[in-house]
Amino acid sequence: MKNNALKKIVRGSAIAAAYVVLTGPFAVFSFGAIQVRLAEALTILPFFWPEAIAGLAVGCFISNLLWSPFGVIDWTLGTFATLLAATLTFLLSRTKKIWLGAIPPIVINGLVVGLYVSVLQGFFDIGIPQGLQGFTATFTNFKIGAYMVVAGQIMLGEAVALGVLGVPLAYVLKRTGFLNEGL
Amino acid sequence: MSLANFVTIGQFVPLDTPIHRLDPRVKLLLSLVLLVFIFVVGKLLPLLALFVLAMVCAALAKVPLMHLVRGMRPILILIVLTVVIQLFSTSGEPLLSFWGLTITKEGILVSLFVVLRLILLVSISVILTYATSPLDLTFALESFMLPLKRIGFPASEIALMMSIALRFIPTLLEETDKIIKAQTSRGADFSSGGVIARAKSFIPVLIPLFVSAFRRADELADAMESRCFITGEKRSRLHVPKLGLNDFVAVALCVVAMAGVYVWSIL
Repeated sequence: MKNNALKKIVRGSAIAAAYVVLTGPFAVFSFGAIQVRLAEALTILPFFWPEAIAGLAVGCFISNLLWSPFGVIDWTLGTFATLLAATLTFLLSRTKKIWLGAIPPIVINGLVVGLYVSVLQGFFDIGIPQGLQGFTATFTNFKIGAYMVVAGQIMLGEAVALGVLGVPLAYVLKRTGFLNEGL
Repeated sequence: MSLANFVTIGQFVPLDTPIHRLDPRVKLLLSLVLLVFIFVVGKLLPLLALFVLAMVCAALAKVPLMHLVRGMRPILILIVLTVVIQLFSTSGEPLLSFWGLTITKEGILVSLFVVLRLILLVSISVILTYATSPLDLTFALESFMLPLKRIGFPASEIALMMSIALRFIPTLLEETDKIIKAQTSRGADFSSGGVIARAKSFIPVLIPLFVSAFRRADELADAMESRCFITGEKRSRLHVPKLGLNDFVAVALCVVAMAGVYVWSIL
């Protein structure tokens, strides 16, 4: 079993490195407002390998460390979104329906990343009431239309990466028997 | 992307400046605190003061001005969009109105405030990644994660995964380069067509890359195992960063600056 643990870690690293390489400046292209990060195709992988959850989170973290314009926010919240989506994809693998596994990355990234991008744009402020009563933050000045546009753009980009690349990749891996190789 | 370009990946530039010499843990922690702090400051002028201080740090780290400006480029669209929406949707004292749209004094102030906050946010990240190598940053992160080990978080495993991934990146980059060239010589086209066509053209790159990455991973695991590597054991390092006087001075200066800005913002 020890052998397997190490193998899983190294495999996770390989997925992380592949994610970083695929996020390289040449692999993020935008068409108008829609940005497609090709590496997001790999978010389908937890469907087959649980170690891909950690691998994707690490890969997303390193990519954001290297290139993200938002810095710390992307490193933490972006990685958190990836982690959450990957875990859900892994849980959905019980259904055996690959296309279902593609849904969490699209929805979660759209909602979470969309949320902090719109906060950064000042579409709504997280105001802390005077005197920090009860530690409740209130959402004021919330422009829900703007948030929906931002989240929708991100979801579309994710849907392209997953629908055109991720899901076909998963089918190919399944069909060629690569999944059972050397395990 | 060719291998030669790999040197320019990330934004780290090895220099010998006071900011570069700070302990990576201190730099990461201060950046995190500052980031949260930016959202606590609710007034334009104190935020501007914070921005001036950030620029002093940038100057200390010898970050070229062009590098900072280039760092803003990815958020340019975001800035423009933000300004447009904030400008027209904030109610207040009207200054100018045309085609049924009204620009208010408050709208201008809010736009300025939000844009300054965005620029400040990006500047801090740019300075941090300019003056700290990715390897140092992962070390800092690892040391923050270690206490989580007590609650069952696989901190050392994640840290190991991170170091191996960093080592894998140049290898896989070279591999990708080879695959792209091989597929191009077979007539593949990666740069024309619409968004779907372009994403689709990457399938013949993605699959070989993925298979090769997995094969390499299994080989590496075997090689590590045959050299008696045991997962979960404490790792030793060649260079262990130590906290020095300069780190304490930096923390003290930051605390004083933040306290000052905070007091100003609530006055």
